Amino acid sequence: MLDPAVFAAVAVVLGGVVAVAARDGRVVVLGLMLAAVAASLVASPLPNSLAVSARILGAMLAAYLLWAAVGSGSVSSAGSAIGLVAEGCVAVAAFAIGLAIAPVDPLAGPVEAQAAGLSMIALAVVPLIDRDVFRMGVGVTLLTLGGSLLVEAWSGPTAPLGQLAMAALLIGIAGSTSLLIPSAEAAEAAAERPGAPEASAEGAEAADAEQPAAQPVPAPSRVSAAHGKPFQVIVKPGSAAPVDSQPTRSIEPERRPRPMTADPIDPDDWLAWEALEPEHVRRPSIGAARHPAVPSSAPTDKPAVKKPTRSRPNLHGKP
Amino acid sequence: MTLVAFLAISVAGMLLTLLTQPFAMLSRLVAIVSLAAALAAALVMNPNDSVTVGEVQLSTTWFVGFFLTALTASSLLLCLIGLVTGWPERLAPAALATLAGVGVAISSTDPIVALVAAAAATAPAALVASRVRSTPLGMTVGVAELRTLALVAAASLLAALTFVSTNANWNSDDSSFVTALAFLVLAGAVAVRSGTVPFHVPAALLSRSGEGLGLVLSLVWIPTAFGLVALSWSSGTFVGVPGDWLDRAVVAVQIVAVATLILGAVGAMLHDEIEEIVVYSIVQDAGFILLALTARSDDAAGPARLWLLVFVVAKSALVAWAAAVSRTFESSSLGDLRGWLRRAPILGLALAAIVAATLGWPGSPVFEARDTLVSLGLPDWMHFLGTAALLLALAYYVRLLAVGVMTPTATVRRAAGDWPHWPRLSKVADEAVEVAAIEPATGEATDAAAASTVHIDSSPAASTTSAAEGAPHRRPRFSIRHRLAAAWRMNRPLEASLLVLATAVIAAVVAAGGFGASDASQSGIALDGAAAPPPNPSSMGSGQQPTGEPSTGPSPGPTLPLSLFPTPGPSPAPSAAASGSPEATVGN
Repeated sequence: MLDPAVFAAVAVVLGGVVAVAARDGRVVVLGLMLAAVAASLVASPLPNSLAVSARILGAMLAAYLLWAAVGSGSVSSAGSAIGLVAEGCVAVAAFAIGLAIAPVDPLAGPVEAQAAGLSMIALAVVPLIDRDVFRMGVGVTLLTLGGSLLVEAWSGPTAPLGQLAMAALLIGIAGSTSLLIPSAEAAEAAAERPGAPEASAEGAEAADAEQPAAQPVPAPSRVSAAHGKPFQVIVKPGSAAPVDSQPTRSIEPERRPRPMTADPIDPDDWLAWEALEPEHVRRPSIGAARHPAVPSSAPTDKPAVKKPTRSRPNLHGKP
Repeated sequence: MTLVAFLAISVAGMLLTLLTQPFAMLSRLVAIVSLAAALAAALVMNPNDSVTVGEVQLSTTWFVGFFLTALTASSLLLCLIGLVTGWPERLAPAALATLAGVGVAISSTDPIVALVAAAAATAPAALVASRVRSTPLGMTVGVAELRTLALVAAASLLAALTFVSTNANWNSDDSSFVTALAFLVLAGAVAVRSGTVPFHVPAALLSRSGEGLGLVLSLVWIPTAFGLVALSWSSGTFVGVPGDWLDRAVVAVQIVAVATLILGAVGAMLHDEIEEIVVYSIVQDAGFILLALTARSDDAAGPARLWLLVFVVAKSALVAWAAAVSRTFESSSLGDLRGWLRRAPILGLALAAIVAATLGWPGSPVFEARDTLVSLGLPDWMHFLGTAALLLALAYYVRLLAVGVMTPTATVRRAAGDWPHWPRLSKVADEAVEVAAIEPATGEATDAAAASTVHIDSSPAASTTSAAEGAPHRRPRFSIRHRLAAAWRMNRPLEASLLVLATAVIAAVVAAGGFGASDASQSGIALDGAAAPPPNPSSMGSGQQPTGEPSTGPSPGPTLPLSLFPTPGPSPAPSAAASGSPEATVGN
């Protein structure tokens, strides 16, 4: 009859492969929970019920924290770049190596724990070098599970308080991941931001093509965030930015001053375009600029001539 | 039982504070009460207390109680300052969670429990970092935070493995590679968690994210607690252990420490934002923790513990000082803060006390501790770096003070400063306040009270209109209660400055060895008693037991006339059977 630790070790590997390869966030969480629950059972002999209960409850609480973060469906994993089968092959290969090698002789714990631990660590490598917070949290969890399994294999059964501390560590990792997962809007904004490290090169080029060049403005002094005042740059359109000895920094695209437009006209409203004088406006072509009424701010060789303002008599006596 | 009470209060306070987050005032009240209760439990902690939880003994020493008291007092003082300068929502629950984890880590006699609990205690840093998660900067901070957590967890588990591996026989020709790798990874975890150079980018990003008081959790409290456990592990494992791999690992950590000591101070001198100066100052002083790791000598244990105590309190005071300055003058740029010292002399005194606590003076315990760590942690020809680090640190502190005595800018002149103010209400405002006191149930009274509030804080010209609208036809009679309330509101900068000054003075007293800090630092933590004999490379391959000299356990602390604890006596030396020694731990 096979040792229950063998079944538990196989369950750990299965859960790890699912957590790494799945794209749906909820499936990832289920895989992590399977791996974490089964990891507490890869021991021979089985630890006492108190220790096992602490680990299982910790695994379920950690999974719940991640589930709460991804439960809305707005967070999904990037999944594996090499696919489920390839991830499974990596895990099985690491498992086989763990069964074959013996860095410590004799082992104080079951060899299946060593195999499952190496498998978890092998699966955690790629998610750890990713920049997706959720996927990185999966990697940290798998790495910790792998380390705990190696401790189990090389130094023998862990004391109940050690199991409790391990459960607390897993909860802390899951809680940190769920807290640090950005909202969907922030992730999209960061992905579209040209200067952000997360932005792709293509996205940066496309954004630069749509936006005018960044204007240097003086860097304002940052106010302590304890007051909750945001970092804000206000530049009036058409007015030159004050220049002084302070260093300059580029305005972020969404904070760049928009060109002053009189009455934005819908590019698709052809009747409105026909009603305007042809020498003042240019009929937009398909895919043209989003702001059609920008002739005043378009770059021209001629210097802008300011029209004299007509003075009106003050009939009401107001200042 | 005192340790159990401390742990229970910390965990319960953390949960209650998180549960009451939607109710701002209640959450603050729960946080302050929880921290105060935890401080009381730490103050009365018995140095000889012990409790056994599932075959593992948790035992306290004098230093354990002192360290937990310092952490809790710093947390409480910073939260009180946060009430004035801007409440850090998640700092209190994160601090309470960290306190619980640290309490288990430094009182456990089992190395696996101690190291895993120390790793778990670093997780609450995400509570603070997650405040900016909805910004692109927050995503970068989040990724860095998770990577740091991964490194800390891996390093702790590897260190735990090497600690208990003396009964295991490594199938390797040179098994010192494993312990050297564990040392390198653990020192790397301490370095990354502390934000030392070249791992300082996440710390710098955190300072730009406007964390304010939350910086102290990520950069001071958590790294210090983790460093304390790492120091105990290191001194118990590597004292007198030869090995080429270990020597190479130590050289790598020394390079990081030296770079941190120099470049951290340079960074503090080059930046103009107070938060960034504070962060780089913390980074520079974290280099001494790495020096303590590289010392590999029992002589470094006492100075390192004293330095950790001073580091916790002094850097907490420095972060509080920065928050108070930013709040008082509505700016954190040195360009705007010229002349701050003229308007805020109490904050100037606090900064002077912080400098004295951090750098010490010749003959002071903290000065000697820094000197000892440099002497033991670096080769002889690099001892000049201790003086260089001192002078560089002095340079950026003097820069802060010099900016403060310059001609005040308009920003500084506009600020009220931390001089005490007494509300000088005009006659009209007196009448308005009087109406509010006499007719509290009527709508007119409410309007009049609002007018009085506006009048107190605004110029007389601006208040004329509101006062005229709410002026009643009664003989005014001013209430001292309203005047006191107005004075309390007007003197928020003074209150913050006094709290910062109190924190700085406590730091200076601890740096001078007061409250029994010098003698408490001579006693170790519970993990010191579980120090494993260092693995002997020659014996590991042949299956023999290691023959290295075991490290000394915690030395007894003498009785002090000035002590925070009721029975300051010798710290208990945990017995080998119950202290998680290899024979007791492996195979449990």
